Amino acid sequence: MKLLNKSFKPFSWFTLFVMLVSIPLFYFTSQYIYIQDTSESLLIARTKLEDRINMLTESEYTTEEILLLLNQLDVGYALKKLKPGDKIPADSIYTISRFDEYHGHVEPFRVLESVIWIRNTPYWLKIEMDMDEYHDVIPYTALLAGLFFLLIVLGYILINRRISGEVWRPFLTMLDDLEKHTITSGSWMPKMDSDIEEFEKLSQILKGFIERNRLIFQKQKEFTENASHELQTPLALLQSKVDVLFQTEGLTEEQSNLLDEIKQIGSRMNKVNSNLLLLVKIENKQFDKGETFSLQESVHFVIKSFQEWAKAKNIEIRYESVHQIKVSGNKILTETAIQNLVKNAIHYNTDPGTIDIRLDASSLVITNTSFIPELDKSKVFNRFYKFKAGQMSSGLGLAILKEICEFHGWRPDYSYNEDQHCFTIHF
Amino acid sequence: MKILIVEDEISLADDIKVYLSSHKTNCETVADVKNALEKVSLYSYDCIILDIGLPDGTGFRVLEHLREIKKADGVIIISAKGSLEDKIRGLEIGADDYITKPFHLAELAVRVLAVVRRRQFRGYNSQEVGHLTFYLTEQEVRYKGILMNLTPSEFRILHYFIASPNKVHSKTALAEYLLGEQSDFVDGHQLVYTHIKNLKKKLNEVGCPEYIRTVYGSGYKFQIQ
Repeated sequence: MKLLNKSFKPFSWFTLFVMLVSIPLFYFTSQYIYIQDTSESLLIARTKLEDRINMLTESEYTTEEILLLLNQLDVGYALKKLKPGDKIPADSIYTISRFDEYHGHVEPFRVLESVIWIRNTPYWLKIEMDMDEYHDVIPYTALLAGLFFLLIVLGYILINRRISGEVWRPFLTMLDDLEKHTITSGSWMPKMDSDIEEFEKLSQILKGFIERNRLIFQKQKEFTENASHELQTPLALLQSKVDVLFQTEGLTEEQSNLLDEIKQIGSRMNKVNSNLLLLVKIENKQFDKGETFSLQESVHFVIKSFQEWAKAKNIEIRYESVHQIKVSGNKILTETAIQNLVKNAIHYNTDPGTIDIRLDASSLVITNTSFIPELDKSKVFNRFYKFKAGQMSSGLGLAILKEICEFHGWRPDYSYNEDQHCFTIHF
Repeated sequence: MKILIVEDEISLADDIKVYLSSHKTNCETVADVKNALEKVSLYSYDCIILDIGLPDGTGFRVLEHLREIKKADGVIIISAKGSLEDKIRGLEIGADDYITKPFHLAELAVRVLAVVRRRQFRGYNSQEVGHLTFYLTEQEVRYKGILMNLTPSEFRILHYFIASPNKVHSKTALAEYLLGEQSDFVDGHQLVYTHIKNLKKKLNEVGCPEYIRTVYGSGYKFQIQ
């Protein structure tokens, strides 16, 4: 979920919630206030009526005349003389709903039943007041609230869009750049054209991180390179000392075998060392990739260089290529990659065994029989991956292959079927 | 044969000197550019083994100087591992060959022999070793005129042996020479064993004395009695 939507969503829910709560709240509050007002009006009307009737009966009209007129007018007032000896009832105020012919529908009425005194005689009075607003307030408040909600959401969407367009753009641009950035892609620095404090801070922090990372990576590469270079001389000395020691008179067979093993160990160290150096050099992009060369010839060259070894292990190498395939890249690196694959195919092969090499315009596929089981596809191209401990290999051959493929923009792949290991380079 | 070793690692220079020296070969060592320039100006060498990284400059200066004074000494560059630029530059300036550190001394001997042969016998390339005659261009070996039917690998092994005669060769160095650095030792040893066996048989068939001998169980020695 995008950041903007993330903040937009709860905000919308909250607005909806408030709106939904506010509609009945508004409704009940206004209803309450209205009823209170009506009740007050009813009480005032009662007192008014009592005073007026008392005033009128002093001069012009008799109480009976006013009573008759008021009851026959039927405009919400009913007046009845209480019989002597009747108990004087207490005031009551309530709401009823009934059909009203003037409204043409059922209406709620607020009713006050009370006793007024006219010339010291108690009269029972009933006053009705219609509450028409009662009917119309609900839909109108709901409608208005809904309308406001829609307005708020719409407004928020529009503002959101504007914010993402203007405020977040530098952030999103930087995010894109950051995604494309790799540690090997040179000294790129995040740029942030924004006056927002947090963004500027983020960009500053990122700059620091990237620069530090780059320096660490640089140092690591330098260290590997220096260490490898520095190891070359002692390794050369080790080899030469053993060579010289080998010439001394009177060596026993045991000593001679030990010396030969030391030579092997020296060679192994040399392999690891030179492979590490090669890896660093590829990472450093110290190789030119502007050459155009024939892949077919490269594969052929590699096969030829391993023919002797393959023959010794009774391995049949079958090579199939469609037509002349030219690629541009680095010839020496490409041959190193192919060499690593063919070398493994021979090294881990059965005796007798087969290697099938197929080259076409899109891929190079090397399939071979082997005495080792399926490899872990997720780790096979990792540095120092060994399928079992104590192997004589440097553990770097396939990592170098991967590095070389990446250098050229190719993709290495591994699969295993029918007891055959299959390595593919997709061009 | 005169060889100059320009190498600042004295210990390594001494080993090379010990290994390559024989009654026919005289080795001298210097450890810096200044002394190397002096030596090459005064004397001529069949082969100069030249390290690139020297304390007072690079070996390229020696190469350039040789070209300036129009000397045709053979030069083998000892380059640091992986520095392709060094190799290319060296060969451009006029080095005959290069070898990367670390190396087997026998391998260096093969390179030296090849360079010396190229310099000394332009065009006609044959070498007598005992009763064996090597025809390097044709990749043929004759014993007292009888052509031996050798495979390319067997020829290479014989050539390897004559580059440093009377030396004990380890199986490992031979295997790497035959199969390349990336090969596997177990398979390599097996292969060396097979080739040597066949080679001995072939030498025996044409009546050649036992020039190749197995010593101490794990080494081989080529010796003309």
